[in-house]
Amino acid sequence: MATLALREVTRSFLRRTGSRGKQSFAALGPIDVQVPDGQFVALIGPSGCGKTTVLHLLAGLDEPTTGEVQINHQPPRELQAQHALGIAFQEHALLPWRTVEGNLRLPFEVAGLIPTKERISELIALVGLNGFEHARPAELSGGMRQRVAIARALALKPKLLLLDEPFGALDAVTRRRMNFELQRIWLESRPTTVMVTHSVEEAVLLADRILVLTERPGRLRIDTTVDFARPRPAALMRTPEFHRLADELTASLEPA
Amino acid sequence: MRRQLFDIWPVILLLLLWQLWVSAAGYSSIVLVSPGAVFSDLLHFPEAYLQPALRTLAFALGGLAIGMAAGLILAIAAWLSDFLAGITTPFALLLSATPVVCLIPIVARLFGYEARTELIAVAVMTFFPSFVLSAAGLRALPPMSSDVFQVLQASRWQTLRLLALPAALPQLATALRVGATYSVLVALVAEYLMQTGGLGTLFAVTMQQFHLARALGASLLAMALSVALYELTRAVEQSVLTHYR
Amino acid sequence: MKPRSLFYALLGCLLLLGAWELLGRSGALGQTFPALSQVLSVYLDTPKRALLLRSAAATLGSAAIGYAAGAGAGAAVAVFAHLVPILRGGLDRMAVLVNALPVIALGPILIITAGREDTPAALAAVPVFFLLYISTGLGLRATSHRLDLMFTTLGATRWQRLIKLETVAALPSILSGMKIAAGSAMIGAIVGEWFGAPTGLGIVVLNSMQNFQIPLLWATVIVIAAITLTAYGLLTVAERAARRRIG
Repeated sequence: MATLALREVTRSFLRRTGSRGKQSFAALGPIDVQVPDGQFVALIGPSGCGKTTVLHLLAGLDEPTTGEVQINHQPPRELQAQHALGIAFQEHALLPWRTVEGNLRLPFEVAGLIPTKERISELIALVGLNGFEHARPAELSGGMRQRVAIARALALKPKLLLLDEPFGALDAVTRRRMNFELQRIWLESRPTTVMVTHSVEEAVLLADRILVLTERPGRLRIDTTVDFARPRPAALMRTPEFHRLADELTASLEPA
Repeated sequence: MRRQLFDIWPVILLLLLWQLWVSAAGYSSIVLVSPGAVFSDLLHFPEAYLQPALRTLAFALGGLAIGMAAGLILAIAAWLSDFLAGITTPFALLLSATPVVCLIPIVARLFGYEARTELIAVAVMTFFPSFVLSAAGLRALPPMSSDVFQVLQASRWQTLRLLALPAALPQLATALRVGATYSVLVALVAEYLMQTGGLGTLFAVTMQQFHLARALGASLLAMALSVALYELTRAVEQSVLTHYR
Repeated sequence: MKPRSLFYALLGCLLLLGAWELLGRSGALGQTFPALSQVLSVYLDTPKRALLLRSAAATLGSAAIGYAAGAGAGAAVAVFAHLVPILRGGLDRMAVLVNALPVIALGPILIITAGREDTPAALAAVPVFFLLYISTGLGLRATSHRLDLMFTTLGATRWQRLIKLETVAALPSILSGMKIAAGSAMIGAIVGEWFGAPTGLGIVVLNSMQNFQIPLLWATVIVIAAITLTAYGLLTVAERAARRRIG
């Protein structure tokens, strides 16, 4: 289980201005938000608002300039050390020289564990890639590679799952299909999840809660819950309630 | 600046180790000399080194110029004619596979143990990178540019002069650097084998006489020349590359 | 390769061989330009062939030892420098400079430190060391940023990152360096022999040059070229395979 807390977090970078000066450049915050265990949070906002920065902070890949990031009341690095963090980027970041199976085994190896054949088969079945265990990433389609990336993120049953526009590089049809796949996969173990996405519909379909950030430096603009019952069918996307929420959120993305 | 000074540490370390070894081992000066003895010889007898160094440098540069020019000209010829390109490829491939130092004895026998042979050896050696890289450079045109030139009804010569040659400049600069790096080596080997003068001969002779300090001095001077040429041509290459990006 | 280019290349080969034979026979380029047939007859002459084989074995032996030692040490120091970045600047600078040194100039130093017998292997090892140091270093740094981040999120140790990610990603670059190093090792071994080794192809070249045994000289140089080309070819195949597999 994982509870998240971003307490008064800001992130600024030093940028070189002109030929000599360096200037502080605020990328994010201040932002203050708490996420209970098991919640699926979608993070949306205009380009450059710092959504990916939030994810990097939660993953322990970056440190806040001010404020604190806590996962289960500890710094994110702790979660890394416990090998309890699963992350999938927009670019799959699979090791090109390993097969699908080899890539799925990687988190186990790093954690010093030996995966059972059953566990690997389970993961492969979970993402619907039966028969492709021995294929290498170069031989798979974009959608399939992303599925491997997600399976890898879930390999060690992480306490926290982070997804950075995982379907951004896919075409619309595949993307829609992957959304429902993700829902099915997520329902199996319901880890605390934070997903960055550009697609409002994707967020409304998948999330329990949606956070909308303002333009850079991103601050919390809207924090709303999504109450549709799970599992959410495709038909939901044709209902007026769905559209109303989606339209409201889309409107909120317009510059103030 | 401080970074660059710090980065010299391996060289200082090596010199120190060398000095320590000589002091500790206590060899006679026929077997081993200290860095101090070598530097002292260089400082006290510069006239013994100057003429050979200049000669080696002159031949290296001369051969480099000839080789670069020949390589470029042949590359242009190959660019103008597919036939020539085809028939010269196996020849170039065969010769490029032969380690340069082995070609020198052959060239030495073909042209005799004379000064001009050294020049030819350096030219032959620098010819290959020049030819290969120029040929590649002439073909590395910006996308669609050859189509533009065709639409403009440019002649073969105009295309060469206005498009292909300027496009080839970065590769030519690289060829210059590669050639320069090898030119001193080839000149040295030629001088060593044929005893025609220059630093190579100096060190062949002083080695035989067991005048180790001078032999190592010649060696160090040759290294310095090589490195200086390398740095110079690398700077040229860098400026061409940045200018062209 | 276009069929027409291939045809021209073959034509070029034939013309080359033909011209060689004719020019040699006619003596148009002097006494020191042998005909192709004269050179080939050296290979058919039993004692000369035995000499070439013996010498080739000796030279290959020195070159191989030097190559293995230089490559191993070069790669190891590169990994070390990768793990201790503060030392890397100085080592990189020195590596590039030493790579620019004329290998023959190192001869006297190596005779003193390694002895006449071992100089060929030592002179082969030095350029190989620096080529492998440079190419391994480049390869280790070429890991994709995205993969790097991913390893961090997995909670990998420095060692795990090195073994499972960086060294694998470095393989294409390492093999590229190994490919170029093959030629340098041969050059080093041959020049090393000129400083007083007992046998070797370099000695045969030197002696045949000094004794005006021209066909033998050419025949030996061709053997050297063939060995170098073969090693280069094999390593190119390995490099291509690595690039395909590792990307």
